[in-house]
Amino acid sequence: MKKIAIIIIGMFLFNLALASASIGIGVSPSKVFDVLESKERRNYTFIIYNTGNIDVKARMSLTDDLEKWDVKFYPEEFILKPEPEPHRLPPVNGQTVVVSLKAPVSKPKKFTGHVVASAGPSDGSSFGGSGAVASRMEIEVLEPKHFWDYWTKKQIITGSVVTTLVLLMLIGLFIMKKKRLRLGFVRNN
Amino acid sequence: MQKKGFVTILTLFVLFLVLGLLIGYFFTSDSGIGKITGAATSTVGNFTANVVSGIACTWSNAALNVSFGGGLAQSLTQGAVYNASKNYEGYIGGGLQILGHNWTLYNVTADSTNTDSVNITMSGRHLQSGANILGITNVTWMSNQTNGNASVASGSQEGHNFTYRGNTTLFEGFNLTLVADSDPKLILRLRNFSNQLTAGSTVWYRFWLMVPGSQVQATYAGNYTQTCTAALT
Repeated sequence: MKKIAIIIIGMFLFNLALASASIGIGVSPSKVFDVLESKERRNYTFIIYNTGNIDVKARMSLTDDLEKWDVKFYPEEFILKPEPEPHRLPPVNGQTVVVSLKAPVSKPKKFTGHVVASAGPSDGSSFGGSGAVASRMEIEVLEPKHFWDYWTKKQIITGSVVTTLVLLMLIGLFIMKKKRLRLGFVRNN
Repeated sequence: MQKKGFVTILTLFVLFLVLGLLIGYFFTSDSGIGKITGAATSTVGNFTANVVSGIACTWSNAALNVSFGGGLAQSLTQGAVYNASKNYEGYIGGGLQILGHNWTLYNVTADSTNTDSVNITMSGRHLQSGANILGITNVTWMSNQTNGNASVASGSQEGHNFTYRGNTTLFEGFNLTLVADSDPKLILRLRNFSNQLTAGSTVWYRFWLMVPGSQVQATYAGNYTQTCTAALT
């Protein structure tokens, strides 16, 4: 009885939607293979397009091994107009998206992930749910070319500042010693 | 005098070390300001080929709009399992559905321009109502590539549970085509999936919701995402 009440009173909704619309999304290229050196940044261009029949809002993301990489999308979110029928490649109304990836410092290793474009409804639409399309990326990362590539910029700057300060102190001490100067605390009576 | 020389050498050493590091970092790394670029030219005949690849999927209007509660699923022995509202195009109940007369409105089509076959995965989040949660594992689905009726010969419409990944609220996606499904009941269910959905092909599917006996009465809402990916060849 309780279950029936749950069903009658509660509609278990995944999503709310308009009655007549289809959502479609595509990505070109469908897969990318590349080789990067550690800490190398490279841009990849994708075209995202809409194979449905209404405008959709698309959002970019990365998954799997690439999820934690330093990545920037230009743009990250955008509106897509439907492709005219019949669909064709390259798409007519597609949005060019530049995915800027920076390889992490790593021993030689293959990273696999997906550049994902998720399609939702445009603002103001009650169409819910999301479809997504993913372009497979396989990137082989090589070892760093220089030993300092293992260091981050922050570490280099911090190290330089500390070393410079130590250096200045040494020079100061040297000059003071030469001029027979001494540094000390004096009690003021 | 010896001490003075030592300090001078040490100072110079540290100075050169720091300078060397900075110059090396900024002038010789590929991303640095000293990157050298160039181009080579040659005079040979050229072939030009612009190869474009792409994949796209299109979902029916119902496929991203799933609601439950319209009626009990037929021929089930598990207890309170309910059809999604478009499982049988609005037709709920009766014996005809197992004969394939009522097709589901949930489908996804691989675009005819696709240059690769695609796999489709699905992941979802718990249905929630305030603090009350109706676990996503209570939602089951079943798909069929050959026609719009996913019912099986035995009449059972029992699908396959979403599987929980454990460390996040997101659930592990799986192929609608279920190549990796280790469920021993799979064969018995006679599901007709293909691992690689070719360009222009459509997959139909149905959803069911099982409501546990202890579930708190409320209106629950959640969401899921279906993702198309180029199949590995």
